[in-house]
Amino acid sequence: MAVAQSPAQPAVAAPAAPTGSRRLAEHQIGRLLVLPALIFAILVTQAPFLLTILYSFQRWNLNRPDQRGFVGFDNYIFLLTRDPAFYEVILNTVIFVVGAVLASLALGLLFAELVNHRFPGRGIVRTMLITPFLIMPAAAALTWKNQMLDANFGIVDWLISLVGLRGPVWLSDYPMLSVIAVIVWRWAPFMMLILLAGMQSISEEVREAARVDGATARQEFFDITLPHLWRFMQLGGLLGTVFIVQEIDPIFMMTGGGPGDATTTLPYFVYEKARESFDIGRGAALGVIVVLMSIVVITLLVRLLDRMLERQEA
Amino acid sequence: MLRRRLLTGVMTAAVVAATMVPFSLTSRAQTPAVEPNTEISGTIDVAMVANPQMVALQELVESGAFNEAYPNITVNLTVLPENEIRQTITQDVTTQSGQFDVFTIGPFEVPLWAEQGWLEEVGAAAEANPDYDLADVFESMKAGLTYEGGLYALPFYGESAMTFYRTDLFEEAGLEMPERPTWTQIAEFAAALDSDAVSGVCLRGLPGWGEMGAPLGTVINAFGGRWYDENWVAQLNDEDSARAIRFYIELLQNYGPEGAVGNGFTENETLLIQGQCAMWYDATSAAELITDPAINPDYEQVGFAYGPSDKLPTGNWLWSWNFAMAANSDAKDAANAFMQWATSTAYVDAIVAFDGGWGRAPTGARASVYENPSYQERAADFAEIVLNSINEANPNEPTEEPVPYTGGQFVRIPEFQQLGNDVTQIFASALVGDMEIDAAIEEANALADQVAIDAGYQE
Amino acid sequence: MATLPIRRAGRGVSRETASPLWAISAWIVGLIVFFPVLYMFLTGFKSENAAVELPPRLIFWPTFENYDAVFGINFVPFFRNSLVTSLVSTFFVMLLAIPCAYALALYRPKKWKDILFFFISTRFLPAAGVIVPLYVLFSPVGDPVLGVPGLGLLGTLQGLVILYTAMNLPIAVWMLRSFFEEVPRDILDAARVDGASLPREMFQIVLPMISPGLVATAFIAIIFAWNEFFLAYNLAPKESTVPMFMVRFVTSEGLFWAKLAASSTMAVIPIVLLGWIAQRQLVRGLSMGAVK
Repeated sequence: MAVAQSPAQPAVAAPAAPTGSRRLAEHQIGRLLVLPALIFAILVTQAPFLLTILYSFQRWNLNRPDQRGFVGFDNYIFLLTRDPAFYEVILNTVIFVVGAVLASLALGLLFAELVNHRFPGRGIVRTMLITPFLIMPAAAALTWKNQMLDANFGIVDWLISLVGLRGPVWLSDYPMLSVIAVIVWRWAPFMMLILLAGMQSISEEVREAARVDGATARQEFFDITLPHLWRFMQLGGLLGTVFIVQEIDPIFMMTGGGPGDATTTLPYFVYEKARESFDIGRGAALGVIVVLMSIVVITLLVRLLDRMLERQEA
Repeated sequence: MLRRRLLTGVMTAAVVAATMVPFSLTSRAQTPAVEPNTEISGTIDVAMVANPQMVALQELVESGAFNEAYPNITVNLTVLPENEIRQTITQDVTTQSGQFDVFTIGPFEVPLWAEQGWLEEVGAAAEANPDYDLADVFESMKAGLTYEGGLYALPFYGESAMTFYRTDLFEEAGLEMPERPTWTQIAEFAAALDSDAVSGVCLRGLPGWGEMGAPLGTVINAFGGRWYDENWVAQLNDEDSARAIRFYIELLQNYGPEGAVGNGFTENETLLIQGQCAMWYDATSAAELITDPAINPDYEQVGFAYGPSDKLPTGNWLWSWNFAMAANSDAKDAANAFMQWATSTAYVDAIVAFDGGWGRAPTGARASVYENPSYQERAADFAEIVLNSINEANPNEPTEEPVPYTGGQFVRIPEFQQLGNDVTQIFASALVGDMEIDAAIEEANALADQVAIDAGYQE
Repeated sequence: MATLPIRRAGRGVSRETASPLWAISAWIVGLIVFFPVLYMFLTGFKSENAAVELPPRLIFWPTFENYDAVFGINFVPFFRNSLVTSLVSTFFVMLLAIPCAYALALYRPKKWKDILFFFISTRFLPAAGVIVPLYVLFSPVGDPVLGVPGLGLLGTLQGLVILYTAMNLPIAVWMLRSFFEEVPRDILDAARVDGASLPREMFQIVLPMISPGLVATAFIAIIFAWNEFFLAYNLAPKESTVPMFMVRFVTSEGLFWAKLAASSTMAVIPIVLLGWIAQRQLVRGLSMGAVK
């Protein structure tokens, strides 16, 4: 942090002009208040990352401590040129995140619109819709994997069979779709909360006026609600991306990244290398690559964020 | 709960009587109040796989049974599913972090970890304890846990592999399962029995070296194939190996259940119990589960046969869950006491008394269990097959042609966990039809070669 | 005491009652979304064999054998550990995030946007990428080869509290900053002209105004901490938190769906009940400022 140093001037130095001295010291007060959180975040997140960088230049499989040693860029070269899964995994990650975020937003919008009208039992319906967000991800993943989607004893395929069709084997025929479905089930309620907040900030006068002008419910939704919600959807998209890209539990518990590498995302790939193959060197190299790629994506997201903040200041 | 409390009392008496005999060997078993061992003290952290036998052990420990015997030892148990606990233990041991003093591991890890100096030798102490009766433990089990003459783990329960089938379905179809079937016969039966409602045969399709990798490895062995030749050149695309892999995948594709790629032991067990699988080839430890009326109401419909043969009479499946001790444990006496208590003959009696049955008792590790009249009665249909399968399996010479490695359903090299996981993921792709089987075999073979080169085995 | 002109939740809801068709659709969607939770709850009261039975029995005589089995394991330490890690980490999150967000919103230090982006970006980086280095740092021995000392935090609640605090700090800073932005400037200026000290300004004037936002933020942090599986499993597997208790009923040998359903129900109930009770707070808190 390159904060310009003003000459040290404690706030108490000029009691005669409290406002003036406050202003002078404001940057320092601001900095002082920010520092503890900032230092904590840097220590906890960056210190292990330094170690990751060191390990990425090492050959180190936990099971073969005898072979440990520095190997330069070998791990990076292997991943970028010889690992057959690497590029497929990148594509998977994009599909996974974009698909899950967009579907969560769309469903969240639907849920929010549904409960933003008065009807008997609205509170109960809203409670039911919020619940998946409260469910432990590990419990959600296991319930879906076993009781919902299992090919032989799952309820979903049984329901499909009731209408005379043969349901697919979800986790092997549509593994990515299945994993995304569970993510969406948990995150659509979160989007609903944000969008509901947005909807409820629309003034009733505007709605009323529209209705007086003879707008149908549909017109009201598309002409008034949706434009107003745009900022809220951006926010939901942003937070959703940040959280969903990290979602490992459902992949870990439902598919183990398979079949093949069909549901392996980058974070899961890193995890697999380090924890299932015990290949610390390549896992670390992959971690560094993922972080570099994340920085690119973050930069893009930040632009979006910047625009949102700007609009707010305006 | 009342039943449990009563049983706890009975069991406690049995354990105390049988295990705690530092003083008078003669008064054993008759004296109700044997002095507990207060000399050994300490706190030990134990990591266990969440299989029913270990869960039973945990319940027994939490009921206070172990502390009746060793009041000054505190035992903290960590129980997690197999995949999770394996990663946790491996990471703890290989980084020497010392979270656990005692843990359950398999014969795959024991010699490798002993070689690295990560495990404590536990055979000598067991040998020295006259009540432990180390000679009662199967030689074949001990062989997989030995490194340079030392025994580095104590077997809790063990297994080979066998064929389970639904006698009702076989009867209906007018078929008869031979006691020792061949894989060709299994395929014929599967074709005859497969229908919309019933899958002809169930095998593990779930990727993972300990999942699909285990039965597939033994089919490769039985078919005369091997993972590597003596010079560590990969042999998965060799004629016999490729024939085995193709057979395995096609058998599952043609006659296997829906979603076979998600099926491991439990899923297949469930399918067989539900009458949705006509045959199932897997670990012998399933026999006790699927003949337990509480688990399987149709337990009388289950038939048993040996593991199928092809060029070799057996696939040489041999596995055991064993207690091993970290070399850096700071409570070695307490750890030894716990390990010996958990793997003793007295423990078997205690858990049978605790549960009121053999359902969760550890078997397949000690010969005395198979001489126990109550077990012989309980396991009349399969005990002999299990016993013979364990004795016949020879994981130290698992293949028709010579190999540079040991292990029946695995290749005992540190790199195999990754290799086995990656290879079975490739075969899973082929199983669901994302990939041609031949292409999958070639890719797996190239991967196996690369691993041998990277590890420095192959010149 | 000054209160913010906050839109009260529900104000934007249409006053007219929706058509019966709308109500029916909403109920159907709600029931579908809720069904997996309900089914999990019901399965916990079935026998293992009934749990895999199709067609599923929705009406049955409940059995308590699963809960009997689940209670056979001492679950108290797991719940105690989860409670401690969730509450303590949330306490530290608020302790660090409130001043930070306060300053970012009301003092605008230089590069405040960069600082905010930095916080958000730490949440975006994959935790899996640093899990092994964290393990090594947390272990008592560290990495002797590189001369890295170990902290001895492996398997401890302190270690989890540190990580959960770092995990929830970015979202808390983000949310709280939005709430502080809503505080009208003239109220602050008036306070400052009166010579209110910083603590007085913060604790007596601003924080009470945004109390729904504080509750919503703390609640989000508690949800994420209670439900966290990955870090707990990797760095504190023994005698750890509730998710560790739940998954232990997954076994590769034997049926487990009903027991898992029972343990899952126990694991999710505290947060689900809390969420149901606090949902108004949550919507109100988010509606107050989250979009800014």
